[in-house]
Amino acid sequence: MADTAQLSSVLGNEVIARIERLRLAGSNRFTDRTRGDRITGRGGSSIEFADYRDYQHGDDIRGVDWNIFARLGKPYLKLYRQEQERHVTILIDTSASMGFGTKLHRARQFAAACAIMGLIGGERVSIYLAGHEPRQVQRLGPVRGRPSLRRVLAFLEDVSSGGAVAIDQAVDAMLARHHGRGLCVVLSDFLTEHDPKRLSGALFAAGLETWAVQILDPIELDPSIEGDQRLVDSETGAHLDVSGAGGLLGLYQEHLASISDELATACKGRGGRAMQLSAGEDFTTQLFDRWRRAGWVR
Amino acid sequence: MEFLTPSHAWWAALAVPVIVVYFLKLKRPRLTVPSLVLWARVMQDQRVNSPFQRFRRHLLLLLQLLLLLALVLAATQPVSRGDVAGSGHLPVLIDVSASMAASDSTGRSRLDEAKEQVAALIDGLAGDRQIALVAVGARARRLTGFTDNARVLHAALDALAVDETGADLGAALRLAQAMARSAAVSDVILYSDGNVSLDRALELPFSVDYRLVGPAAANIGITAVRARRALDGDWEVLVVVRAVGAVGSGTVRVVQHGRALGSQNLTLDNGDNRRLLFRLPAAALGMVSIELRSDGIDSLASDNLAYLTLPKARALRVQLGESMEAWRRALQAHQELDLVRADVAADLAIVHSADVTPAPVTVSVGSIPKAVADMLDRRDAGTGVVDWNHASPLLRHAGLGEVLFARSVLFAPGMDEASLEGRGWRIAVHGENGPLALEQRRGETVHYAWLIDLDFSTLPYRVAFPVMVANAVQEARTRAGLGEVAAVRTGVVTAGDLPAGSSVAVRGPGVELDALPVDAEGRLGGIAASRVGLYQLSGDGFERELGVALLDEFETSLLRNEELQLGTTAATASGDDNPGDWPWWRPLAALALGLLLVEWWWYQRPAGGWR
Repeated sequence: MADTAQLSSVLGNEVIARIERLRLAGSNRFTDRTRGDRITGRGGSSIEFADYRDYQHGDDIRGVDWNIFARLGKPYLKLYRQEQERHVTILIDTSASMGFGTKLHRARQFAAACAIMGLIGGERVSIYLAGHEPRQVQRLGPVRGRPSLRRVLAFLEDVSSGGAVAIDQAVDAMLARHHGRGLCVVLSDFLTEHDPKRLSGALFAAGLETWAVQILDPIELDPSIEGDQRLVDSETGAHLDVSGAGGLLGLYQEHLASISDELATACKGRGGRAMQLSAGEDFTTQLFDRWRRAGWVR
Repeated sequence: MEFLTPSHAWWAALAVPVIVVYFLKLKRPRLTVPSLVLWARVMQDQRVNSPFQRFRRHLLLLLQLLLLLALVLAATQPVSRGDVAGSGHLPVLIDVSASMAASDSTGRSRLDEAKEQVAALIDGLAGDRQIALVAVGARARRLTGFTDNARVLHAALDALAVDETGADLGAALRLAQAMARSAAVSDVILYSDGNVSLDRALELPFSVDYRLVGPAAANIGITAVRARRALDGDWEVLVVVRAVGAVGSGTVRVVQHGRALGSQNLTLDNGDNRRLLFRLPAAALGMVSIELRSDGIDSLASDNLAYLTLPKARALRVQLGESMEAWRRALQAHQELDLVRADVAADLAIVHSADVTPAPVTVSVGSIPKAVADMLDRRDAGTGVVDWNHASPLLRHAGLGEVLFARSVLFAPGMDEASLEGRGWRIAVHGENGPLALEQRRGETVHYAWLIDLDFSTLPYRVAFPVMVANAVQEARTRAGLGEVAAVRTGVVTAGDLPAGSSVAVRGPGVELDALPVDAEGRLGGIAASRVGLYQLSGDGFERELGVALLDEFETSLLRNEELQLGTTAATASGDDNPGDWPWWRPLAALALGLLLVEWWWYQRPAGGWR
């Protein structure tokens, strides 16, 4: 009875309601020229005052502040903030490695949350699923407004993992079909051989602020393996024989931290941001606490 | 280091199938991970940083190979040789004389120390070595034959106890010589405090590794007990007490039937040899015990007790041959002396024939014993006395230097003094060309044989003659227990004055013998009395007590000889180094077991167990 009342299996109604009160933060550097709800700078046509400037020949006379003119005898043009639309792009890595544990589910939850915040915030939202086949993406949108909420949630219901497409290839495939500036939330484990700088650079060049969310399973964050093991890659099926794995965990942690640091550095270098999350942690804690504290949402 | 079974090194070839099977059977558990990217980086980094990664990757194989190596090495039986070189058979002589019972402040005796060292020797016995244990007491006893059975050797060693006797090293070495005839013996180990006697030099076919045991110790003990009748008939008992080390004071008591007949206190310093004289009444006949109680340190208990049997007084029975007037006149000067017929048992016999010994002390005059008749020839040529055995009881204080003989005796061609000794006879008086008198000691009897009738000499007219007769009487009195009585010492003892032809049972400390035959002269010999104490001799209608004591000055002195003279060579005491072999197979086997446990633990350890 209660299940049938849920909008989605991805997020509960209460969580959706809480998410609706949040907005995605981020800079306003990347916005579409189309009018939107995001106030970006002076020279716009919104109702929010921005500044004055001297009237110049050719300016629309309707912009003159007649009260100032009456007081000072000189015409000054009244400027308003520009309200532009931001395109919230969400890329979910659906390669096989994301199907490990609850990583893909957590990616769907964050995708849904970002989409909800974008739709409620009057922004255009596009969702890409990449990972099954190279240069192939599944796409939803762009969509806008609350009426698209059910459609977005329904789209995320059917996301499944599979394939062995690296995250940088997925980004390339997405950018090949994407139009619009804004931000791009990349939900992946980033456990592929790729160059984080190239990834963030490509998104930056496409006018997208990179939000890299590295979702890892607890067993990836803190593996507890010992002895001689044959490790099998869930994506490629390749194997690697490891002896005395217990003694290598220190090195493992070092390399894991190194990958996260490289990703964060690459994103920040292009005005973006990155965060590592555990799929085993509570979603609401991550979203309403960590994201809020980190300034990702407000 | 030597390998006793180097052929077992072929077992090392098992390494090949171990390696093959390891790699064939190496079945790593498969673990699916989201991505190998991290692990690939880790492995690449780790290979670069750790040159021993190859070993770590196959630690189980490494452990298995080490286990195999340890087992193969153990199978080849590597041995670190001790100080005793060579292999084969090794007689081990262990001194069990009375001095080996000397204990230190912890109560640990010299024999205990020797047994510990021998036990260590047995435990370290290499596979190619066999040991025979020999106890060295008043006689040598072979405890075991040559064996490498540690259990048998330990059992024999555990049963070993101190004999309260002296140590006859010569007998033990002769036994080792006999053992060397049937087995290859290049070394003999002797564990002793050096307080041993060697009657004559030996030519040993082996070297003696002498291991000195036991520290120096303080002791006080009785070394001699004698008694003789005084002119008034009372007994004068002489007790000699010897002290070594820092001793102190003590008390000597003479006890009979639980009643003290005399007691004297004494204070002794190191090396003192105190003579104590006790005067006992003439009626004090039978067994008396002499007890020494020390107020200071006394390392040896067996020399604190002695026994003396005081016999009834009687006349000495002398059998004298016919036409021996000079001897008769000389004998008439002695009191308490009965001349008896030839068919009566005598204490002293002076006869013409050299082939009969009717008494414990026999003096034959004018004939050559048949046993040596082929070695000697009698000549009518005169001769003088060249030399004589001054230590002979018969000739003590007798000056024979100017005695002349109208006849003489020559050695037969090819014969000499050594030939006589080979038949048990020693020369008592040397003439110019050969012996004039011989002496033979056999058991409890002694036979002095003048080879020329003394009527053809000037001896009866010399002072030496009555002196010689007095010596003979005195020795006969002593042997008959009439003049001077000596305490019986431990060892093989003889009891006299028993019913001739009867059988006797002997009970005493460590001795239980039944139906021992008494000879026709009433003597029972061959009683192995190796412990101090009273021995009960019982037979049909009679019962006697025989007291046996240590009475050995050397044993009481607890002398520690650093060097033993063994014939032409000397054995010097060696240090504390281990004469035994040290087999490596035990630690190697332990190492293999340890490796097995480590391998098992490594293989079975839980995931995450290191963390």
